[in-house]
Amino acid sequence: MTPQTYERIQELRRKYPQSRSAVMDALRLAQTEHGGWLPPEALREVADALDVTPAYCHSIASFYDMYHLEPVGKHMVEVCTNLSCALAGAQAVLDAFAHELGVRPGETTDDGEMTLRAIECAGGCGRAPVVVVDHVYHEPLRPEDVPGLLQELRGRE
Amino acid sequence: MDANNPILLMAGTQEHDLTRLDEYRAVGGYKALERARALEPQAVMDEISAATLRGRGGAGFPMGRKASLLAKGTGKPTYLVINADESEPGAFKDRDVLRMTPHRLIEGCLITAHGIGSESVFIYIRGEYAHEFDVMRDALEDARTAGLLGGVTIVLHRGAGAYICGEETALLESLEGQRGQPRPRPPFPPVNGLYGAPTQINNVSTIALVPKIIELGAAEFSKIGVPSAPGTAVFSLSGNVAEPGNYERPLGTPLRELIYDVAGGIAGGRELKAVIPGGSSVPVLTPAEIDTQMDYDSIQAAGSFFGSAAIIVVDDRCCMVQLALRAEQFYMHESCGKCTPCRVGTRWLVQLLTKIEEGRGDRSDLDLLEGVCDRMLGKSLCALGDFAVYPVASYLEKYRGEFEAHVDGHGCPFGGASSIEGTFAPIDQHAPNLAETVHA
Amino acid sequence: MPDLVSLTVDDRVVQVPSNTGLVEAALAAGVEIPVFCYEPRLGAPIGACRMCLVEIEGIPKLQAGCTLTAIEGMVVRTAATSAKAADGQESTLEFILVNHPLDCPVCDKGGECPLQDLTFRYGPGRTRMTFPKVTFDKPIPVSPLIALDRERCILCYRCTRFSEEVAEDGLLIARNRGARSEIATFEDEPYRSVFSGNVIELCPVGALTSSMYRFDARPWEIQNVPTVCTGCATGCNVTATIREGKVKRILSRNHAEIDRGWLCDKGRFTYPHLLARDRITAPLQRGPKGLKEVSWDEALDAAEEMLREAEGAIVTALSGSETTEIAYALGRLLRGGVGVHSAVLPEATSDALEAFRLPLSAIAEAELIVVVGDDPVVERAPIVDLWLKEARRRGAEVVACSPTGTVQVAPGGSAALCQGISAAGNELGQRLRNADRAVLVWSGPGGGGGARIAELAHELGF
Repeated sequence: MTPQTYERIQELRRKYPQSRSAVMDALRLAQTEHGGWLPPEALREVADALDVTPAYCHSIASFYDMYHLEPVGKHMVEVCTNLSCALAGAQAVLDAFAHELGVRPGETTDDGEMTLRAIECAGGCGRAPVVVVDHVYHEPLRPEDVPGLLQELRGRE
Repeated sequence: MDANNPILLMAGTQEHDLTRLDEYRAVGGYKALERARALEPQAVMDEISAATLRGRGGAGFPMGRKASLLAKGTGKPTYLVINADESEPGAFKDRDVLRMTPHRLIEGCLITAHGIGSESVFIYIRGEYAHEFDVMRDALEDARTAGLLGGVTIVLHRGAGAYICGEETALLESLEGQRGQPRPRPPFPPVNGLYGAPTQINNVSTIALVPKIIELGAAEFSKIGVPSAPGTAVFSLSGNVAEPGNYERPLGTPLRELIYDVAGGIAGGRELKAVIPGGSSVPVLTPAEIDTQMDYDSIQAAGSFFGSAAIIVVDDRCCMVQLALRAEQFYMHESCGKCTPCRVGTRWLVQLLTKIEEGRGDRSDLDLLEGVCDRMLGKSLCALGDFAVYPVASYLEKYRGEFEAHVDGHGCPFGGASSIEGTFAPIDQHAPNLAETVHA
Repeated sequence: MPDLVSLTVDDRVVQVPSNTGLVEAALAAGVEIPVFCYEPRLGAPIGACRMCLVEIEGIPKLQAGCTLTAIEGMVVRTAATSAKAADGQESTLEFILVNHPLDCPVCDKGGECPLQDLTFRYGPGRTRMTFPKVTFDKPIPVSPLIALDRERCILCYRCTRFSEEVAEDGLLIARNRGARSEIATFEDEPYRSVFSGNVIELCPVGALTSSMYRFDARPWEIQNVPTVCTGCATGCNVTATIREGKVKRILSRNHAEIDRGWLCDKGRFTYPHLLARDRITAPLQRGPKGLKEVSWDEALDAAEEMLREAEGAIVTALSGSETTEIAYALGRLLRGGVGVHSAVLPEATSDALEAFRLPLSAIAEAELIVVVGDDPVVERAPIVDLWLKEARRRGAEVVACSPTGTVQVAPGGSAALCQGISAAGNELGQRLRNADRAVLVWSGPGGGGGARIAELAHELGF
């Protein structure tokens, strides 16, 4: 953990009446620093910065969908398959990504570039199907848009 | 304001960029705050009560009445918490408030804080709304720089992906740095809430309506909508409609009008099959049941709930058994796991629905499905346990023929052509698969 | 005298003090409200398991009885008089049993298991679950002392709440969410805590069990004998489980003023020393050829003879780990039998303490606690450390004056510190004088067997 992040976490602790409230932001910061996921080392660092146990940090991190306790790719592609998106054809979009990337939902490509996963309602139901790429919403995204989006993602490097 | 189509919550968002403080002011923004601050706090709350502002988060509990329950003289601070954890399937109205008119929410927070004697506001915003967080953060900074906060601190707290954190007490737990699991009630948040202190917790859209109530006055506000539910609501229409999106209309607007006139009717010339009027967590309505007004009392009389006013429209290409399964997979994924009936029941229902959908069920499985629903309903620690039941129980009740066709015909009568055939659910990504129905 | 409220439980009227929890109030009326997750020693009730669902007149939905407090005029119906409540409780059991394995024949909890008992009393009697149950490798070693059979866990969270709220070690946690939830430690590291063994007793099923006791005995072949632990000065009340004359297990025996039902791991798990090969288990008499084993009768006769011959020229040395009862009996024997009126202890106990004695539970009621002495309380008398934590949770301030405390005192400096505290103008002394409920604790050797502390208490006007 960088000293800056440690300091940032101390600031966050002071922002709340009780310092534990900072754990969610602290985990998010640590996750960004560790390439998008939270290895045990990251949980120890957060525990140290918050004066709590790593077990507690693990308990919190494992509760929420946006903390990853396994390695993820450089890019996160999330396809909503909840009711409204499903009705709008989300499965075809998911299939298109799976086909292009050569992985099943929940998996990361061998080159470590892309993780593909299905997610629950992202709050874009009016512009379904919704795909979230690196926290940016793409709505609607159709199967035919998938190759172009991936190309753009790859091209960004 | 167009008397025929009053826009309150989203007023000015079509014509202006209300993320900018100067533009928000240009449409009269923060005038209501000024007026409110000149009033006694109780007068502000009286106005909100007189307006019968019903919570827009789903329960419809009157905001003024909630605030009147706040414990006084405890020696602890009073907190205001804004529930911006919008995660109900089909709902996307709060998102528009956050990203298009953040200052209206901030103004609502400051007016309410004044009314309840709070100097500490927390806005819990769902983690996925990254852009909306940025907009809110910038708007807050502008408000702070402009000296509008007046000694009130507003903390933006980001969630991290858990539907259950939209439940009031689970939100408070999450905000306190615990796992987002609900608390038993009583005690209720107005007595023992955030950090054990008296807490007013309201939905984004509820609070964002407060400036307009102060601006118009309760009497004018009450002319819009219906007596039991004045004002407007933002209806989120999605699914198989031609023009899905958010539409702000007075409460009491007929459901049929919202589907056919406002949202353009069923897309692609298909037939309407089902309407889920309040987000996935409410009982489904058949086409024969949609002649009801959209307000809390009317929709309840029609056999469902207003919920988040998230209207999901389903056409005749969709298998209702698959829809029930997909819904239940959501609840299984989102169950916090604290209480027995929800943690175990959601999984059991997914297993049963999977078995039935795949054609391996028999008639007794339909009875068992009903039985498990009965055993879950009204027994869990929070409403999620009930929400997990309503889709399954109501689809089974109103589309029983389709369920029977699955068991009698040993498979889906759509034969693979259902519009949501093979939809992959997030729970299917976990290993081992807890919804396994076949013995190894 | 607290206010009494009158309520009706299953048509029986009962009066209880006004802040009584509903489970206790029902008990007072002779009615059982079944529970799993409810345990008052773990803090506020969490209403998680839903076993305690009861019907309250005037409220349409079933309520979790454990989360409610007795109110004047409340009318409560449990499974005994309410079909709705009976269905609610049966539902909870059916759901618990959906994944609970039929391990009873091989499960150590069998015969002492609340889940078995409540299933007999309130359960469905038949299963409707035909799908695969979730299984895990078993047992999972939570620590060298504790085994976890994860598929048995009913997620009542008693163990995690103990770790978090009582022992405050934060090492045993729940991870994941929903049906995936499980109890675990970080990175499967062993649960190392002075008090870890308590989760074995807290667990209402056979999920957390004692590794040492695993498969060692069945409930019909054991006797549970009440006794007292001699591991430290506290003297926690315990129950020794005996099988064929051997101690197989130590359990707590809740004494509200001493241990509150908690044990430290030393007291709970060191009983194997009773079976150590080199432990003397029979009397030995020294003869010309060295020590020779003799019978108890021979030994007692010889001892009596020697004691009478001594005609009072006897020195009695006690170990200090005698229970009050044993010391009293010994005293009577010596005084009345052979005219001996004194005994030696490893450390003196000052009579001056008598004026100030408090039960250990008084620590939890205090607002200010000052601990002096070289040894950390958790090493010297572990259970007292739990009382101090309880006091802190209730808002008390604990000032530790020791080499490792908040007020740093060099080893051996406690006596001088006590004198300093009672001096005029000493801030801590002043606060002790003004406090309504203050407690002094001496933790360590020396101190004149409590004389220093008694002196200090006297000076402060306790």
